Amino acid sequence: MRSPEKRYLRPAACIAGAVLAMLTLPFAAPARADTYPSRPITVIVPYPAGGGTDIVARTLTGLLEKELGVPINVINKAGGGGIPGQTAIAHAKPDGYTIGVIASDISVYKAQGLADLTYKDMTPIGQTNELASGVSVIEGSPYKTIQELVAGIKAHPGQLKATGASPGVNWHIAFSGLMLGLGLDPSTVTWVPTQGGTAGHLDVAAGNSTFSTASLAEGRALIEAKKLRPLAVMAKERLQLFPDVPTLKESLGIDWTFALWHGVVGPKGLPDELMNRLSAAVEKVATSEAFRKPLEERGFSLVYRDPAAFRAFMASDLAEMERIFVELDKMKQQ
Amino acid sequence: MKFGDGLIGLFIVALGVAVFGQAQGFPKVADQFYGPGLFPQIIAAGLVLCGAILFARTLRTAPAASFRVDAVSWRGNRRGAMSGAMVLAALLAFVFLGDTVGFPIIGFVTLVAFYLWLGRRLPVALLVAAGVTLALDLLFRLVLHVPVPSGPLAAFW
Amino acid sequence: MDKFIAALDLVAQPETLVTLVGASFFGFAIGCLPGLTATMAVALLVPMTFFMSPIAAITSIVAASAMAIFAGDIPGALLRMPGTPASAAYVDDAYEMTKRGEAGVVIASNATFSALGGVFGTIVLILAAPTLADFALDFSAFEFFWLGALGLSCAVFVAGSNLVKGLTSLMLGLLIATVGMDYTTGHPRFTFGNVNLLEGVSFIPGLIGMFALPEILRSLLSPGSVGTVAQVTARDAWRKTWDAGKRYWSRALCGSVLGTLVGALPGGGADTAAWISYAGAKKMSREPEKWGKGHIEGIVAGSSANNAALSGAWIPAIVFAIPGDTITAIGIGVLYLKGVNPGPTVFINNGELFYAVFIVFILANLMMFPLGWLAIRIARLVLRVPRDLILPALLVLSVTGAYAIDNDLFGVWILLALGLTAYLMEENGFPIAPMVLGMVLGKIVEQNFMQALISTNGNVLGLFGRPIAAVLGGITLLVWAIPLLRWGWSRLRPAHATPRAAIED
Repeated sequence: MRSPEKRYLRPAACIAGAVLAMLTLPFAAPARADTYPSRPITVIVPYPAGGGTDIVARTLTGLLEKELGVPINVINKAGGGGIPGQTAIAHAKPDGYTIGVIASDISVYKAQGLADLTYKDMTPIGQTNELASGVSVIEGSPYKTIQELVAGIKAHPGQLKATGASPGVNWHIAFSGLMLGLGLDPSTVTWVPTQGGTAGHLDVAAGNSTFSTASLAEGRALIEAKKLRPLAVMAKERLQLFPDVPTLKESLGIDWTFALWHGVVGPKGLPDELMNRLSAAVEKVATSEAFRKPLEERGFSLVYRDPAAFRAFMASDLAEMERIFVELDKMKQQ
Repeated sequence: MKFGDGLIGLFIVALGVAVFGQAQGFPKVADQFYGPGLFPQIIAAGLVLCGAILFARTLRTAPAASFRVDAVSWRGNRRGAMSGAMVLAALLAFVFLGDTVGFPIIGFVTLVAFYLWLGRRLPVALLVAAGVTLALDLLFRLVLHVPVPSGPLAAFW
Repeated sequence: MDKFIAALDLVAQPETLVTLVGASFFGFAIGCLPGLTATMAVALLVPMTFFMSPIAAITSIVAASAMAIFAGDIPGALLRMPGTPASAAYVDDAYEMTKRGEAGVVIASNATFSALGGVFGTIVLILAAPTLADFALDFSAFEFFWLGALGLSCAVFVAGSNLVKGLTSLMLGLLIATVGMDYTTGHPRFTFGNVNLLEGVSFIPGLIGMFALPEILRSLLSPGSVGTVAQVTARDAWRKTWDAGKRYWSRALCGSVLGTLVGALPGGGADTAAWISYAGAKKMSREPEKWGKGHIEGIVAGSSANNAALSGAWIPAIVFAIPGDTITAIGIGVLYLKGVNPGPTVFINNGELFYAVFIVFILANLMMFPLGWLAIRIARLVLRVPRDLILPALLVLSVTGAYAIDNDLFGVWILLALGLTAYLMEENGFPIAPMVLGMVLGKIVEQNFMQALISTNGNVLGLFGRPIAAVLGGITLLVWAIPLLRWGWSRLRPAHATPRAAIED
């Protein structure tokens, strides 16, 4: 078990291990499929420690270490909206010793003109999970169902306020897609920017914004404490944690779904043999009970996609995001 | 380096004006008076005000010293000036060569150079520098998993 | 009572106790190193917690974070290099005391008052968590804006002897805080096309640069000016701390109350708490002229506040699963992982487990005494090493720390740029403290201001539209109005005071 604490308690073992590692590493052959992996793997997380991606990555790597039999170091290369970190993954040596855990942000960089970085710069290894968007209002709000809320939006243009993220970021896209799906102009609802989904839920709970489109999982305790009332989830099926909350399809009859996702990728040009070894290990861990339980408790839905399916999914996600941004631009110009 | 308050005041005013100008180009939120530029413009106004007061006050109280530039801590102190230049050189080396040459090598060279310059004998300099470099590298890279770039040493580490 | 005994039993498990000691040492080591934050200490522990019992897992998080925040004071005191942002408020006082040979007193006080603040916060957490969490829920952008503005007003008190230079420094700090993607539109501001600046100027490398680099430069430019001073013995250190406690117990109490409250507000945080407590205590102090020159009072106020805030942050975390900072964000993750779901019913459903957590909080804070004792020993050793050997090593350590925060060389750029700026500013009589305050609070003030403006469609009066906001706004305006009125009054009656003295005070 590689833990800083144990190491501290056993300095002798630590030093011995370090010496051993130093002696053996120079002889580590270049990555070959039959001996791979033979030395520690680095997993880059493009977000800070403690965030959603970081939690997924650390839960995953703890189990992946056992599966691959080598230590895995999680590195938070944070800041810059995830761009420097994701660029570092894309530009890493494709030797299988540097991989990364990325989030759905990669689909919006190009559409927003922030960076020329897409899934095409990566080798997909496996998608691990999703976090579906939801709609929630304050307990005691006059809107008891999603249909009533939509009627309210139509009846009072410019008066309702929605929240959950900064503009152009995940939950705001969820909101924009919902409005466009209903055939409404998103600018008829004021978007109150907040720093992340939990802050959005708080803004609703404090009685400022009318509704939030952040994931219900981020407001789970507030919902259980009867401070927030969930109206809908933007997923294909109802969520296990919130079985009474209808999907948009059931309640409004529209097809729009939105979820934040996480997955494991390597740099572009990762050889197939190495990728297969990694994806087999990721599949085994990502579908295991030990991974599922803690993440489902946090509200993530486990969605495993193999490399080919993950690539196709990221391609459609990119196209969908570009469509939303084009439509938003069109609305703005009118 | 000491600058007269008059010079500093002018610089602050110029900075404020530049920030204000930049911020004018920022978009607005939904055609309102506020947007990303509002806060920087308030700060810019504050800078201009502070700079102007600084300028005006020094002209009133000590006009002679207002525009002086005085390298008081460097002049007649070649040792000190050299040490300062070495600090800068070391930082620039880390910034520009950090990824290729690696932290341990730059750190070691920096330490040896400083110890020799500050009057330590060569064996002491080499020994202490090697010890500090090794300790920092073990601590950050191995214990704390910080991926400190090792440069060409990566092959042996 | 039954629950309490069951809780004691949980804590007395060898696994829990070993974890407590191990995690404390680990957090202590991380906190001592500049560039490594309490958050990082906790994140490194997460994979470990998979294999621990629930109580041991939570123990490791609580103990490591509390100790890291306390230990952040130590490099600040010894080397003028605050280990965590929460220690930056009183670093000058601490460093000046070390130069006088009182490093031991500083560390003993840090340990004592950190522990007091932490225990106080825990007691509030036990007694009033649900009520306080409900109160914290009433805080929205409007209230946070005024809270931030009130914090910024503190700049006046830490501005030093020249008010205009202090305010200039504050403006520079605020300006630095605006760098990066704007939060209302996503427009990149002052980034000059650099993606590393999109999320703003990374705070920790900046902090290392602003405090450590000027000190290194000054010491090297004037060799011999800083000789090694005989340091007080450990026994004297604790005795002087006891005296400080008797003298300034009210500061410790105020700091603890304030820290707990600010910590309980999501987004408040230990660094904001420490700054407001430090500045507020200076305002109230009978000897404000001694501040910043090695006065223990500010250390008492600041270190009790930052550890109290750490305990306070668990209030919304446990009651509503709302993380006030990144540490509790990870902590909540661990709670869920262990099947202990936070929520208003935890006190009923998981009673003994939560009482056990509270006992651990208190034990973790008490661990600061033995570790503080150890730190004083280490400090005496460190301070005995000749300066010419320490300074270059410090430079390399600073660079490594600045790199470590985002694992990116850009951190070293920030260190260099802000370090040189700070050096030039201090050479020319501009204090650094207001700049750091501006960087800490700039984003909080601006984001909440914009969020409030957008919510009211640009109605500025709307900032007073909610009851708590109106009260906080009123206090802020008073803080600004009173000195202005006084100044105006003295202007009108020049016989009593000269106007210039009023500005320069």
